[in-house]
Amino acid sequence: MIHNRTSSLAPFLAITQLHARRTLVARVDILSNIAFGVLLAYGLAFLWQALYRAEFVPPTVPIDRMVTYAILGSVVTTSLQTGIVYYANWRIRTGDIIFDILRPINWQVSLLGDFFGTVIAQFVAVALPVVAISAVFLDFRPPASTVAALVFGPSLILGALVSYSIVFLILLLAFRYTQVGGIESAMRGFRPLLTGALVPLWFLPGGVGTAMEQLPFPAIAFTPLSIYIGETEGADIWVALARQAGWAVVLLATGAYFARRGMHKLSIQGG
Amino acid sequence: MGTYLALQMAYLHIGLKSALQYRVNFVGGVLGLLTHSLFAALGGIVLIDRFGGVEGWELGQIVFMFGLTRIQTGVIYSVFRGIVGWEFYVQEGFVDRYLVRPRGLLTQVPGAEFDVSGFGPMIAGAGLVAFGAAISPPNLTWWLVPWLAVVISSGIVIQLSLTMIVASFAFYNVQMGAATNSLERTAWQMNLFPASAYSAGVQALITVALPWAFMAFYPAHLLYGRDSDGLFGSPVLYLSPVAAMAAFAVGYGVWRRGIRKYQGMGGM
Amino acid sequence: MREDSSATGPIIVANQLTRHYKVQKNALKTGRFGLGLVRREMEIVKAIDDLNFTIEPATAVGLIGLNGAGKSTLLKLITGVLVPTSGEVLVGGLQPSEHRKEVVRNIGVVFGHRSQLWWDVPLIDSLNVLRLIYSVDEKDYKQRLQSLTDLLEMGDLLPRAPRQLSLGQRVRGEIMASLLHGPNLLILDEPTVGLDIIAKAKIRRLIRSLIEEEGVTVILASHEVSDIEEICERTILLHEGRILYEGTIEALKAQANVERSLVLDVERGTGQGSDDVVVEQVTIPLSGNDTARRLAEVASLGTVSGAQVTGGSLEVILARLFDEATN
Repeated sequence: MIHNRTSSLAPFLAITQLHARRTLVARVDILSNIAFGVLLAYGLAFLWQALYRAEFVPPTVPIDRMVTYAILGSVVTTSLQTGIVYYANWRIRTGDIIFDILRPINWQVSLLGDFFGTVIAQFVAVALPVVAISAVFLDFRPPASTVAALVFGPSLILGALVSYSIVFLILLLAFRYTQVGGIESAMRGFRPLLTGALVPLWFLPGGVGTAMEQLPFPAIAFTPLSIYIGETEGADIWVALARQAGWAVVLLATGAYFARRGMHKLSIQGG
Repeated sequence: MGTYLALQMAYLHIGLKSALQYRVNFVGGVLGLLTHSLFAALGGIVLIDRFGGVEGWELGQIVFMFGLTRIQTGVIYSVFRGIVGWEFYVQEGFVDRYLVRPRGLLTQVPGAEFDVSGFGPMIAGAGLVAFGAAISPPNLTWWLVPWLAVVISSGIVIQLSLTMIVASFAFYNVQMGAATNSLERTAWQMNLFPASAYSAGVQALITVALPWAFMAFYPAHLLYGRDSDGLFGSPVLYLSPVAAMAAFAVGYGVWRRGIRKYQGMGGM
Repeated sequence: MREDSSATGPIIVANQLTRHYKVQKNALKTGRFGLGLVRREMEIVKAIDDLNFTIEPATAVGLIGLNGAGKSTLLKLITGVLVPTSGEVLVGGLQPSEHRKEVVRNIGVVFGHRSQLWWDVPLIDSLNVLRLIYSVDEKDYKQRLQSLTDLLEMGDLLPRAPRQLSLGQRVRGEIMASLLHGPNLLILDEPTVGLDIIAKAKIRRLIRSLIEEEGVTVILASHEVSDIEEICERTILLHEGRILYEGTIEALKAQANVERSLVLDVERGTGQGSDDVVVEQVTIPLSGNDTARRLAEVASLGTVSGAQVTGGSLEVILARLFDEATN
């Protein structure tokens, strides 16, 4: 068992690197994502200013922090969008999934490599340039404090893990229903809202915000973003991180359990 | 023309027949995109409801406009699914299959790749338009319905033209699958709010280069009896069909060039 | 229509037909920052290089070549999917890339690896869509459908979806779909790929009867040499974009004969006892003019207990030709 675990790190890193490179090679994709990302950042910055101009009880969060939040929310959402559900769904449907299962590396781990490679590449090649441009031309602010700066990275990674574990659960449904593209499409609609990337939970009407905090989704974007802008601070930061880690462990374990069952079913039915 | 229509009907017939073989996928695809549209709208509704409006536009009006763009997007997703996913069709050699037939690509692709899941955004869009109109009723004039028809078709043509421009990259053997996605995603996020909320530069951009503002925002002014509050004054309020024609001229030009280039370059 | 084309000489004429590709060397080299912003090295591949040939109507021509020899490119040039880099190919007197729609109206194409049929709806529905694509009018369609159904033995298969058909039945469906609009040129790219020997034989027989009964011209690209041997009168051997051989299969086979020999097992007594025999193998080349004399010689040595012909199959000579051409 121990032997197995140590030996899967190298292939995991190789898979991650492969998918990062694959993403980076697509120059048109990257350049257009940067262009659309900047456009969205501009749109969001002015939208929030327009919203703040409307007659309404003044929000507690200052406008520059809110703009920072919104732009980060947009780039994080874009970075986390990968095609792995469609891809794995396709392989399950065609039966090519058998090749993935036959490999001596855990399927959940190798897909995580695929996911992380893509996400890291998108973050570095798309999100960072958009953020840099926003920092020059828009009200985009640096992290609220040194602690926020230090914790933001790990929190983002935990968020990505939670995002992956949910995606993985969705694509497991493909073992039962041949087509889960619809669920993924719906998720793309939910995601900006449920993760808090579009609307911070504190702007949601009373009960809804509290209810959503109990779900795993805010761990993906809301938690790291509110740490970055300093809305979550002090001891709350560590509680937030612990919650993220907790969700990641629970969801990954659930995924692993159902993956085993799915594979088992597959090996009995022969696809 | 007669055989053209008959051909499109036959495509539709065969497409539906094929989709209905897999009822779960059929329903899943439609529901997926339907929910996508509704949740996209919900994000906007929550914000606007919270802040009481954007630049003098009320919640109902904003939902009404967003609903229109969803109907247009739904049509793109079902009728022009083949162009949205064009990269795939080029890579899999479908283009060659279409080119060995005595019809243009734009005659064959819409019907042959028809995708029912586009009904999702169409239904959601219709619901949003109805919901928006219920809260903020537009002026009931005799030209309301014809104008809506013009607006919806213009918006379809605008978004189609933009999609064709991005899709044309595939003819050059360029990987661009994510670009069509981000085009769509940016479109829906930008269309979610009135263009007057954006800065002058962004307004100019979504009027001239990516004429999304013509899909619903400008023409909706007439329905709500508003004067132009945007950068470009009142003429743009009437110009959606013109913008659509201009966009299509550019989009079709780029597309034709792409086919020519493909035939000159091709794959092994 | 078909009579016309047979009266007006060759259906396909290629004049110095050339097609180059610009391809990227080392596609995954992504530059220092991984963005590949550095200039990419391009390389020119001569996929089709100065081809001259003609194809007569109502004949079958086999296209043979190794992978990457330019077969697909040539087929794409003939169907107008690709534009020649220089030179020209005329199909029925027209340049396909300039008059794509007119040209392909008279062409049927079957790709063995791909399907033009809708996977999960009845075959007859797919055929109806194709009828509209090619604007075949109702009356012609009915007639055509009847004759093709008989010819291709598709009778009870039309209401079934391709996914319910065996591969052999599906290929017949593909051929039917590509002939519905009455093309005078049928292009078959690997039509028998994956078929079992019975199904293969059936497809070959059907294609042959298409040529004889319908007067269709066939261009057949296949790695299955026996397809070409049995269907085609003529063959074009492509190698690295050039023609290595063009002519009849007979002439190629005659060349193959050079290599062919007869191996005989001869039982000879050792002279020490009547039951004591050794078996000796004698090889006699079949091409020489003294074959008969040598046979007689062998027969006088002892009893011939076994015989077999070795080497010299079309496949062997082709392999040798390609091998020589490569070196």
